[in-house]
Amino acid sequence: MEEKLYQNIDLPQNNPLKIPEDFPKETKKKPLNPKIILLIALGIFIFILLIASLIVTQIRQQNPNINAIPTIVPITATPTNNDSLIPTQYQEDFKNLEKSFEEDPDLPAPQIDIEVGL
Amino acid sequence: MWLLFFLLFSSPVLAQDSTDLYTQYRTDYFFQRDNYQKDYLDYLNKKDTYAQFGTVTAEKDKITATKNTFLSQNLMLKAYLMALRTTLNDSPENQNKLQQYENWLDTQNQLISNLNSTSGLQTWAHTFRVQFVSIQKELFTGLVQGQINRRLRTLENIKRLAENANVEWSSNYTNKESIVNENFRLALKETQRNQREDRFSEFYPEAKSYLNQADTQLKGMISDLKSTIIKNTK
Repeated sequence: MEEKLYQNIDLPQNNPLKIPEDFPKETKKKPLNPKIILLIALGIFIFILLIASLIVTQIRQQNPNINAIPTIVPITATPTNNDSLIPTQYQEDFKNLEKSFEEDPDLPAPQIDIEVGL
Repeated sequence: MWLLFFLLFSSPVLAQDSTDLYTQYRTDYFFQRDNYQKDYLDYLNKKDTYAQFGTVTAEKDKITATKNTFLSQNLMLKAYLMALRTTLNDSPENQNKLQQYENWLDTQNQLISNLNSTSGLQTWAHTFRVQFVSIQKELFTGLVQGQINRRLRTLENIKRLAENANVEWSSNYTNKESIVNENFRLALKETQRNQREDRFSEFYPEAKSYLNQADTQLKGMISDLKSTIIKNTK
């Protein structure tokens, strides 16, 4: 065989220890930013809540008895003294007594700038 | 024929009661208040012009505007005191004090008419500033006293009604009555608050809160009286 002059004779010894060259390369995984983890967790939580609320709404629509949630009902004080029960001869007196609370003078006090002329 | 018609259909002239007077003075107060506000705005304009240009004419205008403001201010105050005085028929002492300030304001307006210099007006403004503390004290005391008088009349009417309906003035009523009177005392005590020479220390809101507490008790008394009367008639 005719020797090629440009042939690198050391080529076969490029890997003298015979370390396999096709071993899997170690891929470094970047750790996730904690903020992103938190965002994902929140997103999942909101999604679960959304699903849960949808389910609850559907169940309530199917079963109207569940809709009867105890709500705060404002209790209006029932007047114990019905004015019609007062003897007629005193009704006018009571009206006048109650009206007397509106008789304070409705005169706003004067506002004066005491810096005028100084 | 016309004379007969006039005599038949004309209404007799009646003496004005305090309510009519109050309405009249109240209307007058609002009129005077509008005048004061106009004069005050004019004063502010003239004051600015003088500060900007400093001319003799601008100074004269400012002096005139200041005088007008003082005059309308005093008229407004007097109208207020007069209206307030008509609500104090049960308190002649308060009425007298208010009348004194009305007279003082009248005298001052005569003095102001003769003032023609900035320094003269400044001196008067200082005098007024001190006197206005006393006027405000008397004015708000009058307001408080008038409201106490009104509540005292209500209390008397409750008692009278209880008496007419043969309702015993039991310890329940007596307790509430004493609370009402205590609140009146405290409201009046507020009006006696010491004042500085040139600065008014407001006491009306505090006094008013005591009057409101008295109202609560009075309303409670009325409600109790209603219940008792209804119960007695069953």
